[in-house]
Amino acid sequence: MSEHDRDIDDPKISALYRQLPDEAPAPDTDALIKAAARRAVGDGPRRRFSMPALSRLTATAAALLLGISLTLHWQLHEPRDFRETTAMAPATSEDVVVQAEAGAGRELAQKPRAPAKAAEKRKVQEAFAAEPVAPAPPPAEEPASALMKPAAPPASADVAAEALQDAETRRAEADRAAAEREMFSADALTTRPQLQSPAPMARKKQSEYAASAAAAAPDYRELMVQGAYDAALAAAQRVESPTAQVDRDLLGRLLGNTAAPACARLPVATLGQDRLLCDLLLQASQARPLPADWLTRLREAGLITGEKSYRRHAVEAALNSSRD
Amino acid sequence: MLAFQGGDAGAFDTLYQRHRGRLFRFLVREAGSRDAGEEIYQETWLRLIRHRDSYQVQARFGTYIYRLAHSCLVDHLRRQGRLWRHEEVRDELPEDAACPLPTPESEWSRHLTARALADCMQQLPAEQREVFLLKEEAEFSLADIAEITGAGLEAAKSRLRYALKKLRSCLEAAV
Repeated sequence: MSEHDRDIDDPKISALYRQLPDEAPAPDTDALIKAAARRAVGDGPRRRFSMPALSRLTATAAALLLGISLTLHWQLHEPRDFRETTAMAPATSEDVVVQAEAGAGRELAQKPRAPAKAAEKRKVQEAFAAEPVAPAPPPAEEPASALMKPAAPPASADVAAEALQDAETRRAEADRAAAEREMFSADALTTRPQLQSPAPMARKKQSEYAASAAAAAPDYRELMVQGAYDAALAAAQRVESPTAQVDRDLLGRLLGNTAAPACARLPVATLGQDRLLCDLLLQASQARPLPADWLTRLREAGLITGEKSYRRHAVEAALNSSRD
Repeated sequence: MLAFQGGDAGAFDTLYQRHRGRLFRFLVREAGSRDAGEEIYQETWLRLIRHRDSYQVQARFGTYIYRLAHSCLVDHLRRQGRLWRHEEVRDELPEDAACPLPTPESEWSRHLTARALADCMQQLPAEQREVFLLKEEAEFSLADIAEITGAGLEAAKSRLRYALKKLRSCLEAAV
């Protein structure tokens, strides 16, 4: 049998077919598929030749980044030790400090001062190693000049004067430390958490925003499934998509508050499932009796599937209302 | 396709541009909705990309991509619980189960007839509609259609014959 038999070839039907709209995939779909192809082949043969250079560049950049990160990390975690050491120079150890003070012959808070200074130094270090907002004890370090005074036995008046000077120095140091702590606290939000842990605060905020956004925009399809058609219609108003437009019309028809005939606005391309449902609901809203087995027929014809359960619920509601 | 296999992404763009429109329309009209058709369309191309190394040089690319599309279609219908049978229950439904025309029956414009054809196509069983679309949209020969669908040549002819017969009846009833 030749292929040109009329049984398998009908020019009239072929001509009608040519009049159907010329549909095409959405630009997003094109982009997605082309991107997948590029990812799969890695931008073609040319990349094979540039791969070694790219690898070297990447490795160099990674090494630089690592070096910078380590340097910053060291600087941010070791600043107090370094500055304290510099401020106390050349007295860099507790023994040296004790010896210097003993050599100076001071009696007022001398021996206890050394261990106290060490304890305070430890406290300050711990404070800067902990959360930036945690209060740190004021460091009580003496400037180097005080420690480097000549080892001559002072008179009692001199001792008192020096004690007063020490106290003032300590106050000044404490003020400076408080100011620095405040500076670190302000920076902590941007620097410390990144050094210590991978942005827990930022993640928390993101999840909070996402949760609030999700709470603010409930899925209108879920509401339809639950039968909350008024809420579903309100939620669907906020969604911009062709599917949401069809659903808004269906909901409006269900709720009886849509004046314009929804189905007439459907483009030709959406013939079939949506149109049949629209006609169903149109008839239901106009109180025409629907055949009792329409739901079964639609289900058997595959027009209402599990994936579109909210439409099935809408149809059931329409059928129930028409029978009432 | 061989160039794409060799890593040339530009070759894929050429192939894609050549076949995107017809393949898309075939799948949308076969699946019955744009959403489903677009999903199957994406899956077809992604499957081609994933399994590009299995393409044989002896096969024409046109029949190859439509074979993939056919396979994706069958998978899609199976996921929906719909069977891919030669004769479906739909043939036995009375006429009032058909989608009603949106305009008064007295009007008979070419535009409305095309819409009627689209409605009638959706009433065909899936296998017959597929053969019809492969012929009209993709312009394949019956031999190619038989290869794509995995049916024999005579089965493909039979499905096309039935499809045209039902479409003629449906269109006459719509007048």
